[in-house]
Amino acid sequence: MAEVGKIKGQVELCLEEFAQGKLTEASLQAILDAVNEQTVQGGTGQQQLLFLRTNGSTVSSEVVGMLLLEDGEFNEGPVDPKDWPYQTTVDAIQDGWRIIKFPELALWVDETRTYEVGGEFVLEKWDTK
Amino acid sequence: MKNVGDIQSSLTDSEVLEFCKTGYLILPAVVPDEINRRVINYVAEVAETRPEYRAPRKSKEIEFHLPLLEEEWFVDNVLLNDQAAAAVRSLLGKDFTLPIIISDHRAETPMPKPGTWHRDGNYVADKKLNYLEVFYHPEDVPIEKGPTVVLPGSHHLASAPVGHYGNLKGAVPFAPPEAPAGSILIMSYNLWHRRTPSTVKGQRHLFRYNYWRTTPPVRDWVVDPEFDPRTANYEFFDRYTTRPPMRDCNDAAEMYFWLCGKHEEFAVMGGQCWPSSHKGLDGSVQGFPGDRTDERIWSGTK
Repeated sequence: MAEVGKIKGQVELCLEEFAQGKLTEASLQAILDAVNEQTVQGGTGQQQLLFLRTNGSTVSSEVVGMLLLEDGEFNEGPVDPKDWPYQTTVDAIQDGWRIIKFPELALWVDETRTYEVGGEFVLEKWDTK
Repeated sequence: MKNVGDIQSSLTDSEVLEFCKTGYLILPAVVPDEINRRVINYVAEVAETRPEYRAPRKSKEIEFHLPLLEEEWFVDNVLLNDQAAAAVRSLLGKDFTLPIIISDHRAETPMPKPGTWHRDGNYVADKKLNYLEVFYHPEDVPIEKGPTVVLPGSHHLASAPVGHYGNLKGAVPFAPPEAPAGSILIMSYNLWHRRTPSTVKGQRHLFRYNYWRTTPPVRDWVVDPEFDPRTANYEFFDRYTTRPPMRDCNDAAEMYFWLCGKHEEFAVMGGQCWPSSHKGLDGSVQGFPGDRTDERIWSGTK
């Protein structure tokens, strides 16, 4: 998110310079440089993944399992679930995580057989250093 | 050496039903300290002198297959330990078989990465209980040494866990204070389990072996005259899974009926009936097998 703010700030600066007739090639290049730093453009950022297992299919369901992939390392969070960073998927969304996979409801169709512990939300962040 | 045929059951109806719900039973500190020490000394000597006992593994895990079936002191005090064997007798019936492989799963700690949740290979997912998985800790495995954790109720799930399950709510450690040195964990082979991360330097031993049933299931454990399968509580609050409501009761009741040798009689009518927790104000239930609310009674399908 910090990168988006940086790009937006540089564009606003360029608009200001343009209005004043002072826009330079260097200012425009600064926008391009900021974009190139963006994670999705192959910059220095990494995809962070958060696997949340919940006791229902909705984003407000209680989190019953967690696994975080952060800087290439798995982190299962505190032992005590009360200390986990998110108690619902909504909590994670509000902290900037974006859902990239919702629970697989096909696994829940057969009511005589339960296939997994909770539903699985997979969330991501693009973290730039 | 003790004789399997002489072993008497120890578990009551309620304890057997509890096993049906949770899928495991911990017997704390049942193996005497002197035997625990002897086991540790034995495996240390084997590691030094008998490298051929080390089992081939694809992973970096260290596993020894030990000829302990030949050691009377081990058979009598661990495999046929009074409390453990009586519990196995309760669950698997008379004349159960002894293990054929005694494994010591050894970890050189610290191992900061936990194992993945799993069921051991060749499991059969059903409501029968024809074999048991047993773990034995000859020494304390506190949290910092990465004890095994189990997920109660997971033996009723239809599949094994996938590799990226992480920290799961409701997991129970096989560790002190509930399970100090000399403790034995008896569980359904289908129960999900894994090694947890360890943080201290040392060794962690986990003995693993199986027992099998040789006779049809029958209710020959300690029958409690106060226990009534009609009004028993089959509920298990594992709301962490996505089992539909009351399915926990059905699963436990079906397994209990199978263990009683009455699986063919098991049926669920549906709604607020047996074996769910719904009861009338006078404690009455509907839908108990054989009652007039059992569909098979009036439909002629029995």
